[in-house]
Amino acid sequence: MEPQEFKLTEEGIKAVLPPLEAEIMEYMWKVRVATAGEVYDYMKTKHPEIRRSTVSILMNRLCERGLLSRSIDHGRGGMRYVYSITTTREEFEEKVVQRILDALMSNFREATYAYLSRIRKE
Amino acid sequence: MISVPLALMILLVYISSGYIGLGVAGVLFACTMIIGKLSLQGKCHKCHPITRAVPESLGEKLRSVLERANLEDVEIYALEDYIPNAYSYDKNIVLSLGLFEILDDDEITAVVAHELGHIKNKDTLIFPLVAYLRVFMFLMPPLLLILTWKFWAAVVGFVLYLWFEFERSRFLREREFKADDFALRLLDRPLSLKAALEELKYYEDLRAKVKDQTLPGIDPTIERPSQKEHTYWRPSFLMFPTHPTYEERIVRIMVYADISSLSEEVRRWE
Repeated sequence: MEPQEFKLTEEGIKAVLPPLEAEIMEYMWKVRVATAGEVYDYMKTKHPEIRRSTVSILMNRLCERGLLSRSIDHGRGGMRYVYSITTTREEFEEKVVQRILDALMSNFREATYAYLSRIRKE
Repeated sequence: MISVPLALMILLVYISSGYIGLGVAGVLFACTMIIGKLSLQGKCHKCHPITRAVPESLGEKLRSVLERANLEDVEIYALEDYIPNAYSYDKNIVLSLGLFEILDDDEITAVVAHELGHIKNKDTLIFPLVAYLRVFMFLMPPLLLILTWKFWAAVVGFVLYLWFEFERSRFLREREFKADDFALRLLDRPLSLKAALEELKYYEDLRAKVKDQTLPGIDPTIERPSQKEHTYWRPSFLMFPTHPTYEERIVRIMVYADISSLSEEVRRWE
């Protein structure tokens, strides 16, 4: 996933993802593979009013963003979609930094160089 | 009343072009049916028998609903699709896997009961026929013009087609209500159908909102005009709707549940 947006007022990955999607990704990076039902159970503890539909749509949105992949699990409990992470948290953060620095370098080359060398000296 | 504009169309064909017109119209309808039948074949590519797709507890509930409906020969399939959806054809019911992500077991059973209503009411035979008739009615005005070179015949034909569309919309909406009524009588918990419809409505509304959101570029504080919500003309505005709204269906279920609980109360008093 190529981050397209950076919110200066938000912390952590919420700066590049909407809040609920960021929370789902935090959980997914912990468990690596989960069903929408498992993610719903986790999210319900934090947001009691959340609905299954919300989680399902957000999981699919994360698939569209390329952060999760969807496959079918033929387990003993029947068939169900399982979602797995496509990138580790570290890889994702590296991409965010890379993308932002690339954008800064192409838009404000001199100022970015100057600032980077100044903070390096500090 | 869907048959009235159809009968008038046949009469119009006879008046304007005689037996030749009727013959050509018959051939057109036969072709529509053959093409329609062929296009409906192999409808379920990524389907799996439901017994392999759901846990035993849900399988048991579905079997019990089939028995109560006296439709044990109906096959239920799970479709590999993450978008929640359910439909029926012939004596088959198809539930997408996405449905299992957002509905609980009772709600899934309610959706199956609704589809069983369509099968019991013979909608799985009637709906394709109505679809073929629709194509036939749409093609008749230009065909009349070609056959007769009478402009008035084409105009009258087009008016009859619009009337047919209106009647078709009313007819299909009524069939949805009838399938709901059947499901309500079949279910242990009739309100589970209401819960399922509410969840599906919520899903559709939310999905439409999420879809509208475009990914902005690196410019966090400026609101882009392109991100503002647009209201588009959707097909439902342009054509006659074939399904009642979720709200209409939910209200009817609530009325049914109220009447059921009232009659239960009366029975207890007696």
